[in-house]
Amino acid sequence: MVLVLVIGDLHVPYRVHDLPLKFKKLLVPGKIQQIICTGNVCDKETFDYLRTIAADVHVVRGDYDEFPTWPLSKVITHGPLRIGVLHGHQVIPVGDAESLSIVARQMDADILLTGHTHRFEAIEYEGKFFVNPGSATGAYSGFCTEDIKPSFVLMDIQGSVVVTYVYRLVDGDVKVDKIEYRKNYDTSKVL
Amino acid sequence: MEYKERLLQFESILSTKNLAQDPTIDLYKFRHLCFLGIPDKPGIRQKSWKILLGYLPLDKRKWKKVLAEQRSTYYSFVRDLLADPSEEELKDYRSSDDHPLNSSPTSKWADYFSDNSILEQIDKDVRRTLPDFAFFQQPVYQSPLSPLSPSISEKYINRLNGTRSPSILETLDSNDDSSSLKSYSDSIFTNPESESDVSSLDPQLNLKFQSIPFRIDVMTNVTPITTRRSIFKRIQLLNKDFGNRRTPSPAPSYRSYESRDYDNEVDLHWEAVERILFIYAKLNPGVGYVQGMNEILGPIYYTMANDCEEDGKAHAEADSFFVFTLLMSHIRDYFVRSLDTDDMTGIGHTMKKMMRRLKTFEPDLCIDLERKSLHPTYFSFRWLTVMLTKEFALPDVIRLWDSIFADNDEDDELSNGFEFLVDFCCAMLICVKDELLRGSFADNLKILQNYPIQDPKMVLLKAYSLRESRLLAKLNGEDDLSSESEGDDYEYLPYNYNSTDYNTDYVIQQHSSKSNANDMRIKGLAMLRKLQGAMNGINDRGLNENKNGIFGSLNNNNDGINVMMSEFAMKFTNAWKKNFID
Repeated sequence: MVLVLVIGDLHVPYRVHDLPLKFKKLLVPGKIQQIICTGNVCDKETFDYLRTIAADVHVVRGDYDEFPTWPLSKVITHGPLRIGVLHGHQVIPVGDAESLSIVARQMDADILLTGHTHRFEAIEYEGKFFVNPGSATGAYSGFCTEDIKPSFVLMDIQGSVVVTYVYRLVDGDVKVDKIEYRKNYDTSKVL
Repeated sequence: MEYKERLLQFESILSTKNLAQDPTIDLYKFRHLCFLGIPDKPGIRQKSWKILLGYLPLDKRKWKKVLAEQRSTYYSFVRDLLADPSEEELKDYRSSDDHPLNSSPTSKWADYFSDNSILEQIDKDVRRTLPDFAFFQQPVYQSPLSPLSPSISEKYINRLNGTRSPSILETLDSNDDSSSLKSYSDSIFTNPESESDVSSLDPQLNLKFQSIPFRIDVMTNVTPITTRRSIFKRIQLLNKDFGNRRTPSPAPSYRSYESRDYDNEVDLHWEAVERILFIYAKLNPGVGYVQGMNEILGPIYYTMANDCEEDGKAHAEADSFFVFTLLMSHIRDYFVRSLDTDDMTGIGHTMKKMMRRLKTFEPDLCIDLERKSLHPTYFSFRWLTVMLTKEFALPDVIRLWDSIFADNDEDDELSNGFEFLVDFCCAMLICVKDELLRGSFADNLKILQNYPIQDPKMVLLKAYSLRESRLLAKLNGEDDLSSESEGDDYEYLPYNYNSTDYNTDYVIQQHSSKSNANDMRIKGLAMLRKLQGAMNGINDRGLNENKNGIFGSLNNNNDGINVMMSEFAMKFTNAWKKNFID
């Protein structure tokens, strides 16, 4: 059992000054084994903060990140699962399931984690699981016209089963939802 | 007593054949027998320890029932306490709104994270338990009896059930598990007595066969416990570079993960030890896990796992757990930090008791240690908490424990039971007395932390004599040798008696500091010893009557002191004489 924090689009300090306090209280060291960041952290201080939560941080570069050395995409394996990470500004139309599915096929990923839209999303499409953790700070985005709610995702990975916990800040309260994804071997063996 | 004779006695006491005639064990007699050591023949020590610590009742007719009950309790602990919260949640999906970052105390996840820190600590220590001992790295004995063994094929069970008593050896022959046959032959043929004496072979064989039908009955409802390995999976995640028990596989690929069957993996002995400690820590949150418990459990588990009977071997883990729990009930206070400075219990109290006892036997040594400011925490802390496991080799430790368990005097409410352990620690000090008196602080520390005498036999003899004089003094009403002194506020050794003692102290300090001449020191020590003896006598009487009054009058009365002194000296010499004759 591994707990993986998926977080992204913080946009500190350009759009928001910090993470919501309620999230900071939840994110304490010692519980989470790995952090996967979908990009747009922006400054080094915020990235260092993430590293205080868990030592094992995987990050990809978003269009606003200050770190030219970060990779644009990454694949992380957890037992039988391949997890692809991409910020998502490269995918057009932004957040489109079919285009994301093409990326997932290219990366040979069972789970694809993207950001960029600032809206939480978790869908199963063609046997693959697509998660967008949304913006952890609730930063402004031009793509999203409605009110942006801060959110992040925690994935509990056990073998081929992933239980996804979604943490959302709604009206000052943290709400948690649970979504389960199970990798189906037959669908992934398409050649 | 002759070894063979003792062995026979043990066998007759522990045998379950003549239940109708002789159903109960005389604990008092049995303790005496065990005190001088339990024979090394397989199967005897396991049972004896279980009886001495109270796991098995004295009534032999109840043994089977008690064992079956307790073992099933342990297996239900394994089943219930080791599960991961998310695994439980997956079963009743959406039923709970618990989540991993929940920090409320009712959350299963919060429990899980606090358990993890304990588990990590246990894991580190257990790997260090007797590391140069191959036993703990070996796989656990597999038995269809134990639900902790990976699922055993149905065929095997059917085969065993099909062939009942007439040809049991054939069954054992034909099954794949050749080790069970070996264990039988080990216990029967490698023993010199049974080889020479054919008649003794017969009842033994009968005894073995009797246990077989029982075993088959139980086996039919044994289902393997699926959660048994979950804590090791956890450890693996917590500690990536360290947690893998085999060499870490390079980047777990898709295939290898699938082919590796976690649930059918065989446990190693140290993993069983780890499981016991974790369950103990979960069941006893007040004590939890403290370093040193692994050292206590090591010899117990080793002994239990080397049982000769199929039944005992299969359930070694469960038995060890209960024996360990019972043992911990005696020495638990040593592991509780808040009790360290407690007056009535805890490690600090026991160390004081040890030094007090040493003072009555060897006052000069005691004074010398004090002068060199060699506080008992520097050495006896470890001796007492881990019950000497770190000082001697495993076989010797097991032998010492025979005596310690056997001397468990439950009548004495003030002691925690293991008085002989304290005696033995005193004896250890006395046996290196010459070196200690000669050496400096650093030398002495080295001696005591790395005890020079490897063979505990000599120390044991000394400890026997100390114990006897202690018991004798107790019988004579001079309870000072082990008694709890009143007003326990003295820190290390300063006298807790009365103002007269300061004179003694002063005399000695003068002698030891000012004069380098040896004879002066000896004189001083001799004088102290005399005074000490007198004080002991006085103090006891003083406790019974009006203390100050007696003291006041005796201070001015030399005759009184002389009388007391001679009385005490007589008793003491008697005690010593008795030891020498024995």
